[in-house]
Amino acid sequence: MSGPSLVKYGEQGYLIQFEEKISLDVSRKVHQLTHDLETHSIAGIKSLIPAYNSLTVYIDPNDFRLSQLESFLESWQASEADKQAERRILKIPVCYGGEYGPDLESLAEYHQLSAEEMTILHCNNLYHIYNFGFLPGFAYLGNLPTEKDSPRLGTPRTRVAAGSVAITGKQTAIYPSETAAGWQIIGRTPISVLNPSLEVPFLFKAGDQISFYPIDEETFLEMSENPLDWQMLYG
Amino acid sequence: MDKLLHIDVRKAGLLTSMQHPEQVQFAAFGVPFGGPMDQQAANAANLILGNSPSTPILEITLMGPELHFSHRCIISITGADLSPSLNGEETPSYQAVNVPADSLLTFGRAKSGFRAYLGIRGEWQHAPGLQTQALRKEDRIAVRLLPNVHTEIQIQPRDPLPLQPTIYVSKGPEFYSFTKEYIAWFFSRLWRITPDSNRMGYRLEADNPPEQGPKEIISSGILPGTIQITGSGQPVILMADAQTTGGYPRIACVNRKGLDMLAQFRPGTQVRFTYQPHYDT
Repeated sequence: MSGPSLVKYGEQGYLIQFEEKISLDVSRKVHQLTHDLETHSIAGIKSLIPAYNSLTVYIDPNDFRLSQLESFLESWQASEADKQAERRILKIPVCYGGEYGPDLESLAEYHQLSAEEMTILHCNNLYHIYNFGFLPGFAYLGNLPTEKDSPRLGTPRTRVAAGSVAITGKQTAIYPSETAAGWQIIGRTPISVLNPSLEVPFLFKAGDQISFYPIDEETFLEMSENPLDWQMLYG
Repeated sequence: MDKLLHIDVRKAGLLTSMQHPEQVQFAAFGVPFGGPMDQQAANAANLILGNSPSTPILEITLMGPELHFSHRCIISITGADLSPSLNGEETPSYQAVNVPADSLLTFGRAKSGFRAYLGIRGEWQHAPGLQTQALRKEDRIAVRLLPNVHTEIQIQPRDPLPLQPTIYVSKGPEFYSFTKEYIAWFFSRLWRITPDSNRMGYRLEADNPPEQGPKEIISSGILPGTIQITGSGQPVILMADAQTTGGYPRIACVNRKGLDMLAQFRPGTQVRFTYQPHYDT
């Protein structure tokens, strides 16, 4: 299998492009390379943006030398086979349906399931964080084990509460902050995935694995009032 | 000299925001780079004052704010000419200006450009946020005053904007996925910047676009200056506050100098793109 290709991306960037598909395997390679580039620190690289099958490199053209990145990629490709990244698993409580998940019933119906079956389907799965985007701390999680893709809402909601758990296509996500949004809302977590007062204000990082478990409203309210230490979620 | 200067926002203006330099450390978590839209003008404001280049500035859009200064300090205003005046008297741009204690800075008619930058000599007591936040009436900015330095730095404002400016671009990652017809159209047209353009992106008016080719890509990283073509054939130039990934094909990239220019164009301005092979190498 051939390695990723490196193409120029404007005056201030390069794009490292992997195979043209969305898969767990490709995504893990992207995250591995991101991690390795971060720890290797090549002069002139300002920032890295990992995505499903690509890694965007934001450079300072004054300090950056292409040959350094090229030779790094060459040796990385050669040694990539033996890498085994450490992966965290986080368990996220969700209050499904009702006012917290107004689209659960209709979405379950769309998949010819009951609301309870839809909840179980969403919980009985380990999700991989493919990448972040849309909003600070918004993680794209996959893959939802439905047969059909879930459609977006015809008209996006103008206001969705922080912590809302949503579905579109075969992806699921937690809205980190209040926003307008077009995904179908199936529940809400009392966990804040974004805490701007921390040095690294994000609960998740790319490559983490996430699972969900159902809680009732009473637990939801209780957990909302007594925010958990994030450390408690890594289990 | 260890005094804290307070700048009170009496009126916010159209869109006034505090901008730190680009934040690059959290792009992988979906945090936009942010930072001043016209980096050249913003840097000039700090340079004139002898501030470190990482000092925040205020970015002032078209209709300026009313700001009250508690203590004597030194400021500089660069970028757009929005007719600034200090205590009712016209004040010059692109040079250090002495501000007496208990002063009011106001802005008037927008003579040229779109975004002005206000630098203040000292250490700003504000950490960067995750997203641009518009200043509101009654907000207060705190700056620890530093001794004045006489920089003698002379910075000339950029030339007045040409009537139909040319923006130089290099190829975007998906350049070759576009049809020849679309590429020819893209480079031959005079594009008008639409009113719904902002710090996230500049949308360009497009009617009857030719067939463009594939309309989606697997979501991939966005850098400031990336030009995406949306499903309807409309180009969007992604700016400082753009989201970090996007799923539309990227036809071209505006360079830093072009971004600084674009920051000063008002909606309605017409621009042309010219391919600059130099940037591809």
